[in-house]
Amino acid sequence: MKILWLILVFSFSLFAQTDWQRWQKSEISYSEKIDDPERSYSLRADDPFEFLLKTAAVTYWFFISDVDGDNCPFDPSCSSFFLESVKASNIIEGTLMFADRFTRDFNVFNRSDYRVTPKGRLADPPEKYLIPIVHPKVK
Amino acid sequence: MRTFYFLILLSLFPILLLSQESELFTPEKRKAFADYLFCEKDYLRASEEYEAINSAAKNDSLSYYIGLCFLKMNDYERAKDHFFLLRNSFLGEESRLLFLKTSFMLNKNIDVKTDSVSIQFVNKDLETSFRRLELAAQIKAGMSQTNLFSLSNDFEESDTQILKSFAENFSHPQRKSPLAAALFSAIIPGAGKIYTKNYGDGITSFIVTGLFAFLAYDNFQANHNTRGWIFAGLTAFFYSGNVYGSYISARNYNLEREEKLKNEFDSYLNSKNYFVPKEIEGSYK
Repeated sequence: MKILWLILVFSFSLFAQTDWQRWQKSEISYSEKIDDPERSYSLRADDPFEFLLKTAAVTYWFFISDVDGDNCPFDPSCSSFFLESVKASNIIEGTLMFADRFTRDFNVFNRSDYRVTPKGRLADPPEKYLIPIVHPKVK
Repeated sequence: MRTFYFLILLSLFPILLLSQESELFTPEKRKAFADYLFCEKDYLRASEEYEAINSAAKNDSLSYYIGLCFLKMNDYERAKDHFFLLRNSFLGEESRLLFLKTSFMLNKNIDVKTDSVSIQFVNKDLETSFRRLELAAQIKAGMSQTNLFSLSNDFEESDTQILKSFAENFSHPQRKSPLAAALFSAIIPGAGKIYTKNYGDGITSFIVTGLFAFLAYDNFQANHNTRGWIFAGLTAFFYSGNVYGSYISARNYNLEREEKLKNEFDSYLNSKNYFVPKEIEGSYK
């Protein structure tokens, strides 16, 4: 009984000291947060033309890209870049952006000007390649 | 034995009572703790402590220190709001100057901001700091050297030359013309990219477009018209993409240079701790 009393008293005094936990070291991450969504195989589209493009892209992903392996050094990958660039602009500008990206993908000399994402890919979003005169919101 | 246990209990209970009695979170103690965190450069926690005391009892100097914490953490938007609210307090002069500094760091137009606060300073140091801030804003806005008469009056001799070179770079930036880049690529594929110093991309464009053009030509020569048209289409695809890409490449080159110059200028000014005399930034504490 006496020992129980002692344990009770000591446990009180221990709890009284736990206030320091509020100041314990917090885990802070300084790494840049980047949206890195996985491929969406959904064929949901706003218009028939987008549906056709998505069907072509998903077919390519399913039968070629996924089988071939994870090879594209860029983020988003070239096929996703094409879909996103057409969505951000129009079919003509999107195709031109894709042609430019495809050429840059061939580049074996140096690719030093890209930011590297946490997954080790080269960040290259289509927004970077929109013409400011056509898209006033672009800087 | 019973007496022994009784004595132990007797000695423990007062400790418990005392630990409950001592108020850890009195405003004075929290202020002292916040000051300690500020001195230790733990600005995030210092700001939290200052805000906790300030929410219980409003105090201008606490608001000022909260603003300083945000300024130190480069959270200029929040710092600006605190200094703006203090513009008419007893810390008004310092707050007005720091408000203008945060606006400057946010790349906002200082001229517009000076309308919203008084720019009269009684303190000579603050007056000098404000003039330096104004000159720095003019340099950043791309004002030519001829308009910067008072540069040598307000800045130290050793810094004047550096600031003049910054002024020259801001007023006459080395830009690349997007139209010229597109034109170069239209004449020789990849030339526009080389013009914007993307050498690897330029050479690749030249090889890819040239290769497909040769394959198209060769197939047409051999009367393989279908293959010829396929390769001609691919040539047109890569050629037009390269012209477009060169235009964008020049635009991106200009943006990157502008950003780099602004960053260099800001870090140079920050390293010199201009605009704000040290004693009002709290570093004397």
